[in-house]
Amino acid sequence: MNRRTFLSFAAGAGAGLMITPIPWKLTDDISIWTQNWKWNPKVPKRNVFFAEMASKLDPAGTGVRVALVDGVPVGLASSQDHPLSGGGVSALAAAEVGLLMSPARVRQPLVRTEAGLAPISWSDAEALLAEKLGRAEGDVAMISGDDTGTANEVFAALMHRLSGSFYMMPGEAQSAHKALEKLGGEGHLAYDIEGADYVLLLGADALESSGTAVRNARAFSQSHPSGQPATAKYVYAGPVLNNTAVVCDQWIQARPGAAASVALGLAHALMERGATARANGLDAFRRDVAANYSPARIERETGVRADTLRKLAAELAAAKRPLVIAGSEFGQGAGARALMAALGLNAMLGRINVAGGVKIVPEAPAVVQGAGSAASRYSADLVPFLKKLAEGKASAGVLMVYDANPAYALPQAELMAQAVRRAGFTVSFSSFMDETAELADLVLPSSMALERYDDVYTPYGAGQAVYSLNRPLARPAFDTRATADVLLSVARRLDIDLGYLAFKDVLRAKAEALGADWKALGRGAVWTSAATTELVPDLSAAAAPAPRAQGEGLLALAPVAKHNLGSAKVALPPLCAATVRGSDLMVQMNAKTARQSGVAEGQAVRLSGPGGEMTARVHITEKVMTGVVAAPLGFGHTAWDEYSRGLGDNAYKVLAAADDPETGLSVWSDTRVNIATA
Amino acid sequence: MPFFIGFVAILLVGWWWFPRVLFSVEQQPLRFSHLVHVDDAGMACEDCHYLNEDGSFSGLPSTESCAECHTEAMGEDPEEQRFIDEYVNEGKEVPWLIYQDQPDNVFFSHAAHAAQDCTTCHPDVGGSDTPPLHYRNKLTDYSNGGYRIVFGRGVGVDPAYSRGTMKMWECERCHAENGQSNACYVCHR
Repeated sequence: MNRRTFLSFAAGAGAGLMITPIPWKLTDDISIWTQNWKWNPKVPKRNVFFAEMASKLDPAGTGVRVALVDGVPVGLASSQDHPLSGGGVSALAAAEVGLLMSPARVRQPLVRTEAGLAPISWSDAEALLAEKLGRAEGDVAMISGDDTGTANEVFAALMHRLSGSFYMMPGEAQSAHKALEKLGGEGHLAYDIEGADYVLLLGADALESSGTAVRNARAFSQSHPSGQPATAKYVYAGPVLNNTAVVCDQWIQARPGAAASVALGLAHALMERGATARANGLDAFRRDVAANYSPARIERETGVRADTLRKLAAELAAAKRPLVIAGSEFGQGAGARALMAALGLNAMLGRINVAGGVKIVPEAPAVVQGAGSAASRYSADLVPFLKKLAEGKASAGVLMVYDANPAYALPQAELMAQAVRRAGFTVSFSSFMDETAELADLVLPSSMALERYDDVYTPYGAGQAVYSLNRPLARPAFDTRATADVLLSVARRLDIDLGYLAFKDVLRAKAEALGADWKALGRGAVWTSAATTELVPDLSAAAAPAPRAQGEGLLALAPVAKHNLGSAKVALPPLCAATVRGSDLMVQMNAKTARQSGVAEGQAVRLSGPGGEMTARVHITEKVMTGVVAAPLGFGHTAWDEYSRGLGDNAYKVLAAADDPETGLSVWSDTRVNIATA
Repeated sequence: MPFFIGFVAILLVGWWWFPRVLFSVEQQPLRFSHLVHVDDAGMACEDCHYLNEDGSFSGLPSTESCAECHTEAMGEDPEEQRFIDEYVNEGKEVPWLIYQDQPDNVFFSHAAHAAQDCTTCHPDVGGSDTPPLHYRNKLTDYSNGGYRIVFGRGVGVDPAYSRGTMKMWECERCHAENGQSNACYVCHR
C-alpha cells in the first residue's frame, strides 16, 4: 500500500464514519457517562415501602416514617400520626437513616489485644464476656443510656442475678424519677402542654432539647397561629436566648441552674397572695420558702428581678391552665431539686393530674423478673460511682456500657474516662466507635434502631402514656446484634435464666402487660393511655436549701444543647455537618461580660472550671445575660468520625458535680468558671 | 477503489461491530413466562404491576407475593423449581433486569402517566414465553430492549423498537405532543 492508497482508504473511512453511529453515539454516551459516575451509589430500583418507627437516637422517642427499598432505608420523614411528633421531626431522629452507614459505626465485635482492638467472632466474644462476668460476680456494674426501652429490664435483672450495680446515665428522666420519689410518688412525669394556656419554662429547653421537644414545638406552633392572636403564653427563664427562648413570648434572664430557686421564689410570691396547695408537708414547705426564697433574695441569687417574679406569679395565678416545666438548660445535671420545686409550684397552682397540667403516668409493668421498678433502676447516682472508680476508691471487675458515652458526656469528662480505664474489664455495646468504646476491652456493637427489635415507653415529658414498638426494618448494615439479645445469650452461658430466650419475647410480654395489640404495634401503631397515678405530693423536702455552685470563677457557665450538634450519646450527625462552620468552638457572652473579662470578639480564650479547662474563641452577642458565658455541647470529640472529630473542645470537661446527699442525685447545672486569653 | 473499501469497511465496523462492543447482552435471572400466567392462570397485568395507594408504583412483584402461589412447584417447568429453591426458600428477591431503568437524576411518576398505554414506553411482553434479552450500554449503564438505530428523530435508538432507558428528548417530545410542561423541575427535582 502506497501513500496515495492509504490516504484514499482513510478518506473513504472518514467519510463513512460520519454516517455510522460511532462519533454521534460515543459523544452522547460520554456526556451521559460523565454525569452518572458509576461509583456514585444508586437508589435501588424496587418498590418503596414505608414503615413507622420511634427514634431511639432522639431521647424524645419521636415517631418517624422511613422509606425502604428492598430492605435498604432510603429516606426518612416525620410521622403525621405519632403522638410525639405530630408531623415534626428532630435533627437526631432524622439521623436514624444516615448514621446507619456512618464511618464511625463498629462493623464487628472487637477485642483489645496488644496491637489494639482486633476482630473477634460473636461466639468467642460472648464466651469471653461470660467468663469475665462469671469471675467478677459481685463486682460488676452496668451503665445504660436508654431512658425509654424495656432492654433496661434485661440488663437490671442480669445485674441483680450477678449481685452487680445498675446505673442509668444522668438526664431528665432520672431527675424526674428522683423528684417524684422524694415527693412520695412514682411514675413518669408528663406535661399536657397542648392543654395549657400559660407555659412557664424554667431552664428547660423544651422546644429544642428537653423532654418531648418535637411535640412541644408542635403545641407551641398550634398555640401561636400565623396572623392570629396566640392562644397560650410561653415564658422562658434562663441565661441564654436559646432556640426555645427566641420564639417564646417572653425571655426572662436567669442565671444557669436557677430553676429551683426561681420556682420557689414564685411559690413565695404566690404564698404572699394567699395561695395554698393540696399537699402533705405544707408547713415545712412554707417555712423553708419563707426563710430562703424571698423575691429580693431570688433577685440577688438568680438575676430575676423581684418585680418580674411577682408579675410572673400574678400571671400564673390569673391563667386558667398554667403549667410550669423546670429543668437544666442542657438536659443534664439538674439533680432532683428543680423538678421537686416545680412540682411544688404546680401543686400550689392546682395543676397536678388535670388537663393542661402535670400528669403522673404509671410505670409500665415490669416483665423480667428481678428487674425491679423503673424508679429503682434510676435510684443509683452514676457520677459519684465513676469518681470513686477513677480515684481507686471503688472497683468494677467488669463495667458494661450500653447506649451511653460516659467518657465524653459527663462532668469532669477526663476523670470519667479515667474511670472507664480503671475498670477491670470494660465492655462497650455502642453502635459507634465513641470515646468510651475506644477505651473498652471488648466492643460488642449494637444494631441500630432500624435493624433491631426495641421499644419506647413514655419518654420524659410526654403528655400521656405512649408505647411504640420497633422491629427490624432494614437488613443489618454490619455484623451487629441487639444488645438485649446478646446479654440474654450470655446469661444462658452463665446458667442464669432470665425467663426469655429472645428480646422479642420480652417485648411481646411487655405489650401484653400493657394491654397493647402486638400485631398493631408491629404495623407501626402507637399505644396510648390517659391513665394517671394519684399524687398528693409531700412537699416537706421540696424547698430545702440546694447545694452551692461548683467552682470559684467569676462567670457562670451555661452549656447549650442543640440536637443538630448531637447529644450525650451521638456526635454531630453527618447530615448536620453543614451547620457547623470552621473548627473552633465559639463561646458566647455579651459585650458587658466581655469588657469585664478583658476579652474581645474572636479572641482565643481558656475557660477553667472546677472540672478542668477548655479552649475556645469568643463571640460577643447580646443573647447571653451578663455574667454568663455560654458554651455549646457536642464539640471536642476525640473519637467518632471525620465529621465530628477535631471540632472545638468539650465543655463537659469544665463541669463538676456537687453532691446532694438529701436527694441522692448530684448536681452540675450551676458551674462557675474563669476566663483568660489563651 | 481504496476509498470505497475504506468507506464500506467503516460502515461495517460502525453498524455491525460497534453495537456489539458497546452493549453487553444479558438474560433475565429466571425465564419468566408471562404467557403461562396470563393465558393459563388467567391473571391480569394489575395483579402484579399496580399503583400503591400513595401513588408510588409497584412494578415488580416481591418474592413474598410470588410465594403466595409458588411455595411449592405448580408445574413441571424446572425454572419454577429453581425459583422456589433459590429465591422463595432463601427469602431472596429476584434481581430482575429492568428494561427501562431511568437514571437517579430523573423523577418519574407512573401515577401521572397512568392514562398512557404501558407499551408506549415498555416492551409488550404480556404475551411472551421468554423475556427479551437485556442490552446494557457499557459506558452509561443505560438499558435497551434491543438495539437498532434509525435516522430521523435523533440519532441513537428507535424508541418504538427498543423501549429502553428513555432519553430526555423522548420525554420532552411526548410532553410537547401532549401539551405538558417541559420545565426542568417537572422531571429533575
